[in-house]
Parts: sequence; structure tokens; C-alpha cells
Amino acid sequence: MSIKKWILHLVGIVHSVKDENLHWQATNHELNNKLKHQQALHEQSLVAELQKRNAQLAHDLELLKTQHETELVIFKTRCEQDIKDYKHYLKALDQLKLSIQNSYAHLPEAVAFTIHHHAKQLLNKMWEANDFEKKMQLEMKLIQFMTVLHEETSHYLEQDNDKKLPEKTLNLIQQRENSRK
Amino acid sequence: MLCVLILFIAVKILVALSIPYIPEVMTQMGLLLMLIASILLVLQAILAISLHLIRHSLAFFSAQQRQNRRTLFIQSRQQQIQQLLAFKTMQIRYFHDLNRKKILEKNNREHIRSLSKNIDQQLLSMKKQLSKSTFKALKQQNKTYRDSLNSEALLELQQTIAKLD
Repeated sequence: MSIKKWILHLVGIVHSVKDENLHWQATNHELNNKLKHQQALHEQSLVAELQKRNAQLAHDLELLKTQHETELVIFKTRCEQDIKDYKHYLKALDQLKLSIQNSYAHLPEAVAFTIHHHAKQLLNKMWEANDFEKKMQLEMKLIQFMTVLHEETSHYLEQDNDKKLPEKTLNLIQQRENSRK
Repeated sequence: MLCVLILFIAVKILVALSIPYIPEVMTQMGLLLMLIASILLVLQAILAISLHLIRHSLAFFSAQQRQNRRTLFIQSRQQQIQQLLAFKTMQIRYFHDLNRKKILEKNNREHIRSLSKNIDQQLLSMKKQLSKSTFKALKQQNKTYRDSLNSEALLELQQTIAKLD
């Protein structure tokens, strides 16, 4: 009998707990619903904000792509122009060699080659220099060299003198070779 | 499990007290209880794992997580694009340099050929003054330097020939 009583007591406790729970749910039902609703709203707003941010990021990405494409096209065009300029410079140096050979009828091929080679070396150094200041210095050197050579050849033709070699130019080359050593 | 343990202890006591039949029944009952408890444990584990999986799957496919993953994807794509620009620029610069070097080499070859031709003519004009072997050796040198585009050696050769004249 005592066991039966004990079981009944246990069942009673369970029922009372259930009652208590039901009562608590009934009183807090509205608040619970409100909280759930608030949570859902909060999640929705968070998702909307994220969506908005992602849309902005995707838009930025497209802009970046276009910007990069344009940059690459510009860089390619600049490189093509660079090659054209380089060819143009080489052609000018070739013509310079021809003009020296025409001016100095008995100029040995080796001397003409040395002058042309020196000018070409200057041109290459100028082209390959990464530092702008150094590039400008080398450009000045090249211009100075070409000016000296041009002056000498035109002076030679005007005065029709008997000099066999463009000595000033060769001296300039010699000086630069010595200073490099 | 605790019940089974109690049951088995009781069986031990009953066996110790030499009471017949009841320990056997109780042992059978204990074994049955143990089997049921094991099955229940396994089922509970399966249930817990399944619930865990479902909860995590739901979280994984939730709108918030999806948007977060999308943000990460866009950010990594942005980094990729930046790297791609650097690589493409490097590639263009490499081919540009290669192209320029080819142009320079072509120009060098033309002028070296011209100088070599001049040396050849010079050698031919001196052919009678030179011994056959010297002439041949100088001509060979001229050809070697021309083919290897060695302008400095060619100039030195020209000077040597000029001194011989």
C-alpha cells in the first residue's frame, strides 16, 4: 500500500509540475510570441543588411574588373608605343651612322660601328633605367653625344677640311669609357 | 543500468543464500533489461546525432550564413582579381621586354654583319701579304665572332688586321 501511495504521490508531483508549466506558458504566451517575432524581425533586418552589403561588394567587384581591364589596355598600348619609339630611335641611329659614313668618305667601318654601338648602348641604358632621374641623365648624355656628332659632321661638310675622323665624338667616347673604368 | 546492477547483486545474494529458481529468473530479467538499456542508449545516441546534424544543416543553409559565405566569396574574388592584374601586367612587361630585345638583337646582327663583311674585304685585299694559314685563321675568327654576335672581339680583330697591313 505504501508503494501505491508513493507512486500516486509521484504522479501527483508530475501533474503539478505540468500544471505549473502550463500556467507559466499561458501567462508568458504573449511575451514569448513577442520575443520570437522580434527575433525574426532582427534576423530579417540583418539578412537584408547583408544582402545590401553584398550587392554593393558585387558592384564594386564589377567596377574593379572594368578598371583593371582599362588599365591593362592602357598599359598594352603604352608598351606598343614604347616599342614603336624604340624602333624609331634605332632607325634614327642607323641613319646617323649612314650620314657619318656619307660625310666622312674614308671613315673606317670599325669607327662608324663604334660610334653607332656607343649611341645604341646609351639608348639601351636610358630605356632600361627604372629611376626617372637616371633616365633623364642618360637621355641628356645621348642628346649631347648626338649633338656633338651632328655638329662635327655638318662642320666637316661646310668647311670641307681634310680631317679623316670625327675626333670630338671619338674623344667623347674615349672619355666615357675611361670614366666607366 | 543501475537497476540491472542491483538485480545482479540481488541474484548473488540469493545464490549465496541458496534459494532456488528465483536467481535464474532474475538473471534472465537482468539480461533482458541490459539488452533493452543498450538498445535505448544506441537509439538515444542516434537521435542526438541526427538532431545535431539537422540543427547544423539548418544553420548552414540559413539566409544569414548564406549571405556571410557570399561576402567571403566576393572578398576572395576581389583578391584574385588584384593578383590577376599584377600577373597580367608582369606578363605584358615580360613579352614587351622580349620583343624589344629581339629588335635590338636584329639590329645588332645587321651591323655586326656589315662590320664582318668589311673585315672580309680587308682580309681579301691583304690575301697576298698573309700566309695561307694566317688568312684562314683570321677568316675563321671573323666568322666565329660574327655568328656569336661578339662585336668587341670583331673590333679587336679589325685592329689586329689593320696592324698587319
